[in-house]
Amino acid sequence: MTISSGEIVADLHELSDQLDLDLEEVEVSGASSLENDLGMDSLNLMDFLVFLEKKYRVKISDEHLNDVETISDIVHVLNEISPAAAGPTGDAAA
Amino acid sequence: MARAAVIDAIGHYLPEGRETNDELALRMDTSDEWIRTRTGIRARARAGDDEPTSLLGARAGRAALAGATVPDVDLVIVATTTPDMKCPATAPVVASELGLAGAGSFDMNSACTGFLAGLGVASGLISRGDARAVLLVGAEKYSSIIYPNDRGTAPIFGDGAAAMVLRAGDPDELGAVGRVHLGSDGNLWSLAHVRSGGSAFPRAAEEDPHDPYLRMDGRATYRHAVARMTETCRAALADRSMTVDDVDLLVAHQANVRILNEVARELGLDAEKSLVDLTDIGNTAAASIPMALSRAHANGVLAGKERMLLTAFGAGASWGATVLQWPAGLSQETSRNSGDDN
Repeated sequence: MTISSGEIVADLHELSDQLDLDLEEVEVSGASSLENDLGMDSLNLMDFLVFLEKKYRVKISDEHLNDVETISDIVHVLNEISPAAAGPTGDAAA
Repeated sequence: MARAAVIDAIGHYLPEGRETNDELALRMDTSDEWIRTRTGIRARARAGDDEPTSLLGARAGRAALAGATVPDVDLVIVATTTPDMKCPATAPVVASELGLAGAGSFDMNSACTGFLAGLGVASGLISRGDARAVLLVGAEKYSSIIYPNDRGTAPIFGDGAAAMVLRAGDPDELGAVGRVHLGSDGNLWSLAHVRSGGSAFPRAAEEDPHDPYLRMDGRATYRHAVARMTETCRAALADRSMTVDDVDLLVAHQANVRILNEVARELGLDAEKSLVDLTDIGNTAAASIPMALSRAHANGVLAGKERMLLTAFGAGASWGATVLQWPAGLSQETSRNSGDDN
């Protein structure tokens, strides 16, 4: 199983109130910049990543935290570290 | 009867200088709005060149001692990350400044967790009878380790000191200090650190100019701070068979307002029950918890008997939490001559 951009976008919408984000007029895609397009800052980005850690039962390392700039970056990091994303062959099905 | 350390008096000292967000924005790439939304801070306290940590600590100590019921203290502990010198400790200087030469004294460095670590040590020494009364001081001059144009740290930290007098008493009385839960993870040392000047990396001519100053990974620190403070608060509550519903006031290390709000939310505590006191002074590190308590006491916010949950997270990484009930009838005179403008 691979985590998709669509799932992360859905997660972001689910958490938008808590993160104090107004996403109604914004089209969110994998290429969306979390800070420039979605108005997140480094701290509510952390809150979102902690939510994702709990939901997908993964631990994002401190080094990875600073790699995250877009929705696609989050998808990439989660798929790299998620046991659920690594299939029996170690190569997740698309 | 078992003895316990009991809060006898509290006081604080804030230097008069303030650096506002607009002033910071003149010299670095930041803005008032950027700083306020991330930290909740509008201005930070700045000590003058002639005000080292020992002076801030001594003035806070004097304010606390003015309200003490005990005739004298026999131990002075200074929790600080910014001692006057690498050697000797700052505590003997503070003790002598207060006319307490001859009292035992030592520093404790657990960064922003320093006050809680000191509370645990002071409590243990009083309980054992090794000390009859302790002056516990949190004193910091973070401006001395801030890289001038580092927008990750310069907006956050402020200078100041606060002090508490602890005396021997009964474990069941108001203000008694119970178990202080402490934890650390040295694998996280790089979250917030000053690289050079110690034995691992003595200063060298070719060093990066930032090396003698504080570096902080804000993103990672935020995440670990929320997780560890929440976790250790739950442990401290469980230890006393309490739930979050039993808590009247959360007094967390005043790191930034977003961390305070997130810890309260994770604990399921109303944000109104979280003491916030950094807007006009900044994060005063090891001094922040007693500073918030002392200023709340001086301003009449604390009536006595409030059940408090204290917690901190700091460099190390280090963290801690404890539960106590605020004493009734503490002197209201304790913050006179504090330089406080509120």
